[in-house]
Amino acid sequence: MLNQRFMSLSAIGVMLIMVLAFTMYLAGQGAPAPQGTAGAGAAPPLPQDNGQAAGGARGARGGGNNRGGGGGPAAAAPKFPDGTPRLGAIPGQTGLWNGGGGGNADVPYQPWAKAISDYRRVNEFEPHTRCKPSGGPRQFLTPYGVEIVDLPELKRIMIMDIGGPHTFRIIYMDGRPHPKDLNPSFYGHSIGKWEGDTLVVDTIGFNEKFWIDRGQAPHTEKLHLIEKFTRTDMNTMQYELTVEDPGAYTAKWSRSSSMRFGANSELFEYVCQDNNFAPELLVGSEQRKVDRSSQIVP
Amino acid sequence: MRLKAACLFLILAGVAATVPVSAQQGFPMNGTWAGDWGPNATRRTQVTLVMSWDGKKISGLINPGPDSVPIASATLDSSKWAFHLEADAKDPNCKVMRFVADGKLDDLGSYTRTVKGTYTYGTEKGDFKIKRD
Repeated sequence: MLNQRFMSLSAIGVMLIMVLAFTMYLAGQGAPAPQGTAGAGAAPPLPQDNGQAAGGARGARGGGNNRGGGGGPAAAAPKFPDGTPRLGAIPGQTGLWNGGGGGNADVPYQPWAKAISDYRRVNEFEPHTRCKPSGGPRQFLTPYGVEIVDLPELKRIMIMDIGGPHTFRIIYMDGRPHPKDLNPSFYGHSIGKWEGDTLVVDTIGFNEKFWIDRGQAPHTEKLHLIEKFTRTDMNTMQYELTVEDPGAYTAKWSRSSSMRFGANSELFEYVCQDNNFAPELLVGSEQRKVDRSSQIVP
Repeated sequence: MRLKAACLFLILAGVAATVPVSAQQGFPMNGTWAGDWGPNATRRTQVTLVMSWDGKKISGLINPGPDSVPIASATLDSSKWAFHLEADAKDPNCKVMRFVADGKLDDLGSYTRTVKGTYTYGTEKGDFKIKRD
């Protein structure tokens, strides 16, 4: 009898531990952490005072000094010789942007979108945590920051992230319009232009396979984003987002936030492997030796 | 005793590993759905639905192809995740009758979510189940 009672209590205890551990595992999946870091994906949307994305280890290579010079006033926003603002790092230096979140107050949800938003707050199984690309503003909420690369000679700006899959989006600056009949994609199709010192990016052509933020804002393929980037000094970028999606909202809505520049940091090689539930089955793992004499199997 | 506890742990670990993890995406009814309907367990008819949300209403087709039937109306009550569909379909005698189905959307977070419910088609009543492809 005592034995049975002990077994029952043990079973309950183990079950509770398993549930707790599984819950913690999922909560930490803002992006699967590379080996050697932990809980990398639990970052809340806004940056901390030190400019680094909050929420756990960012990886030794993903950090950086955002003070821009010993805690004094930040340097002026860098520009190209022709006066065009430079959103990325200046030549000879590296740096990443973090932040860009912000709450979604007074969002004019359609009823189904509100219900989905409520559902997502409870069921935080975001596609990002399964290595799906993170389009729109969600890109700036990925762990390790994003790198903005100015390519004036190509009339493009690229925004790269590695928090999910190692990917990027292109902002075309050559005046082209959006193509007709776009094939919906995670990053959509972005075109940009300068309005004074503000980069205005217009993006359409999104698929529905990702969340544009950490869950509160569902979207459909009708999503149309206007993003405004204004680098106010070396370390600060004002980010304004306007969301238009007649499939999910009854009206346009906007929010704004700021991003912080982490100098002396850069992206690093990072593999996020979708549906990697069985690493022991990977070719070449310790559990499954591969005959490398074959010309077919690598 | 330790062996029993270890076995128990392994069993529970196996159960935990099978917990479905999925992410909700977009308007829940968008996409292609497949399933069957019928008045009883032995008399079933395969059905395919393609539905699309334009921001105001759900439109689509039942059994896309030469004999497709347009959806006359379809709604999703997100307070209960209740799905309602109506269509005018011909019976074997080419008589047009209204098909009315009411179901409940389950497993919302799964890409392959389901709707189960009941229908009426003329005087016939039955149940249906569709799963998103």
